[in-house]
Amino acid sequence: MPGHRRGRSLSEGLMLEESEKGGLVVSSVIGGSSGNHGLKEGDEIVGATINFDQLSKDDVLKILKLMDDNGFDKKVQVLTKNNLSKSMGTLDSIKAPEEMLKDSYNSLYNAKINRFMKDDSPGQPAGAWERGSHNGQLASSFSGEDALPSNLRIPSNLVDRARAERPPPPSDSSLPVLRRCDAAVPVHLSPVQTWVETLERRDSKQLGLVDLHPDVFAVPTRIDILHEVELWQRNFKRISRAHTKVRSEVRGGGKKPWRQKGSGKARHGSIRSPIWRGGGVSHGPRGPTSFYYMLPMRVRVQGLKIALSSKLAQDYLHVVDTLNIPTPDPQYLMDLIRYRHWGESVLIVDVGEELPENILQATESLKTVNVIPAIGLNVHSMLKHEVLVLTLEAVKFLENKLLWHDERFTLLYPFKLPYTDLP
Amino acid sequence: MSFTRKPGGKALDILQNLPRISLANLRPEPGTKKAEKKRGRGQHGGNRSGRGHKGERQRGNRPRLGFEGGQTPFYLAIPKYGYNEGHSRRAQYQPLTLNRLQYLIDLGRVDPTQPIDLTQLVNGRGVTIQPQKRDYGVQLVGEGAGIFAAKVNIEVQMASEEAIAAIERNGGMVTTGFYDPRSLAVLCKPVPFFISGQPIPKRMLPGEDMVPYYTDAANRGYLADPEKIQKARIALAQKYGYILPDISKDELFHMLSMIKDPRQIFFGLSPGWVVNMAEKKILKPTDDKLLQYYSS
Repeated sequence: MPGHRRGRSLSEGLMLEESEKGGLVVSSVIGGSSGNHGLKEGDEIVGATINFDQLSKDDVLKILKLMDDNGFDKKVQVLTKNNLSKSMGTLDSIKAPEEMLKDSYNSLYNAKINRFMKDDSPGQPAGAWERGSHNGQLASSFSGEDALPSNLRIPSNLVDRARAERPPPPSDSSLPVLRRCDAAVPVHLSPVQTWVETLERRDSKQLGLVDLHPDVFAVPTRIDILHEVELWQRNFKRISRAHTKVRSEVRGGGKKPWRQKGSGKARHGSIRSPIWRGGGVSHGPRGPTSFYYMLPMRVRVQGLKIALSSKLAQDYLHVVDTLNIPTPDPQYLMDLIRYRHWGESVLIVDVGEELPENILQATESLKTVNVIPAIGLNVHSMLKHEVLVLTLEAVKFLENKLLWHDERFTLLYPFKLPYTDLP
Repeated sequence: MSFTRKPGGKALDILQNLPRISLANLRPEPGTKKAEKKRGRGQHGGNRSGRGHKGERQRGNRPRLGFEGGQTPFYLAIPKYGYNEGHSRRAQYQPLTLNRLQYLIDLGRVDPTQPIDLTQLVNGRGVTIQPQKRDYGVQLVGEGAGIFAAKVNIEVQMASEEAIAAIERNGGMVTTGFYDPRSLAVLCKPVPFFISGQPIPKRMLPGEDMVPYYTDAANRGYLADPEKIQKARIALAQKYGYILPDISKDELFHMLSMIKDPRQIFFGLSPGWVVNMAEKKILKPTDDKLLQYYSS
């Protein structure tokens, strides 16, 4: 049979022959091989799928009429949109269930998991691999020495992609150190460093580096102390006002309901006893109860230090020179946060009673971005917000206040009275 | 020179690869929170609810503490005697060993170049005095006399002979002085007192029973005769076998010879003065009657 032109997609020169069984076989391919869908010599053409997506109504009618005229309507299956979405999009897609499962698994594997396999392409974000971390690496149990132990491997849905976009400064960074530690750093430790950024422009580069005192920003992490401080913060202010009436407080019930003997009923002394419906509660909540307690001052201070250290260690701490932003528009802040891949919620801390008006206006309407003075810094807020942003003055203030507790005597008299060395 | 440890150690390294610490990740140290047994609930707290089986125990009708079933109880059989009679009215003196004093001086918590007072000891957290609990001050105890090697001018409320000898052997001066409870409270916590705005009270003289103690030169009492004190110093040196150093030729002689007036609480401040901490001013009385009262 002579070759039929099949339009633009198939090139000229596809010679077909009828095989012995009665099917169509490609006898030879002439012309460019790129246009004929990978058909080679000897391929048996079983069917064809025509996608009507971009054809006009007239064209569709022409094709269907062609089918109809030539009596092929029994071999034609018309698919509606619903059919297409249910099936895999092709006519021939009736596969065995196991095969379909394998297909879906393969597609999922290729999409999500393959990227983290060790010998992957260099399409990974550079920051994650520079530090040599193994975020979300999946390796079999027979993999070898480099794989993380199973309790430290993180499933891929918990890995924070945005964190890889903002690596900490390398040790040989050429930017100037804008602030050194005021207090003396212990001899066996060295200050930790992080960038100093600005909020002036969305895409401004880092201004320099800042030295942070290790006894405040690089304290060993104690999640149990954070837990204790968080519980304390929730409960010490709690006053539960639940109150129930005892049998003596419920109205009525002074008189013996019926005589002790002879009535045939159970013996009772009062209609408000706890056994009775409408009677008092025996052991219910009694009045406003206070759950006030104070954790030792040093535990609360240590909680703050651990929270700051963990924010810095996990790259959620940013230092900013001032809080001056060009517009009071909240959208500017959201754009900046988006652009710099900071995270979902930001807690901004500054020192002093008067904060710049622009930032106050901008954050007033925003729910996830909040500004607080440095005295208001607390563990709950730090853990609730993903990112913590400190100004240079806030860093100085916090270091001053938090380091004082390391080297002080026990208090003789309350804090409110003057101390010569109180910061 | 020394090995510089990375701040935070391995914990912060591991933390870099773990999910963000948030309110959902906090937990107490395993084993710290043991669930309490709720009485009347469950297999172990229920059934008899920890009350035992029948009888007074379960029914909550046990007799009073000390009852011995009718036999004369112990607390009634033993006769009374005044061992603890008036125990809450007895004067207490917090001991201060020479070991501790040397430790404080070595660590710099107490300055030996200034007269050492109870205020200085409390500021350096060397002793804890509770004037409300019948503490009348601090007593110098001779433990550590062998190693004591500091030249100090110290003022305490009581001192043992051995302690006095140890201090004077090193060229120091000891004085014992009496403080009534109100003056003691002022002496121990001067800042809250100054903030209260009251004039500095005059120190009261000791009661009848303590006058012989404070007028005795052997105890270096502040009411004793200075000449007798000098003789007592020489006698003590002879008794303990050391040469008494001549402090008059010492460069710190002026500091070592500073002694408070019997009515004075603070060095440099007289009774009747009001100290204003906020404005850092001292107000002195001008009225005749007040001056007469405070200088008596």
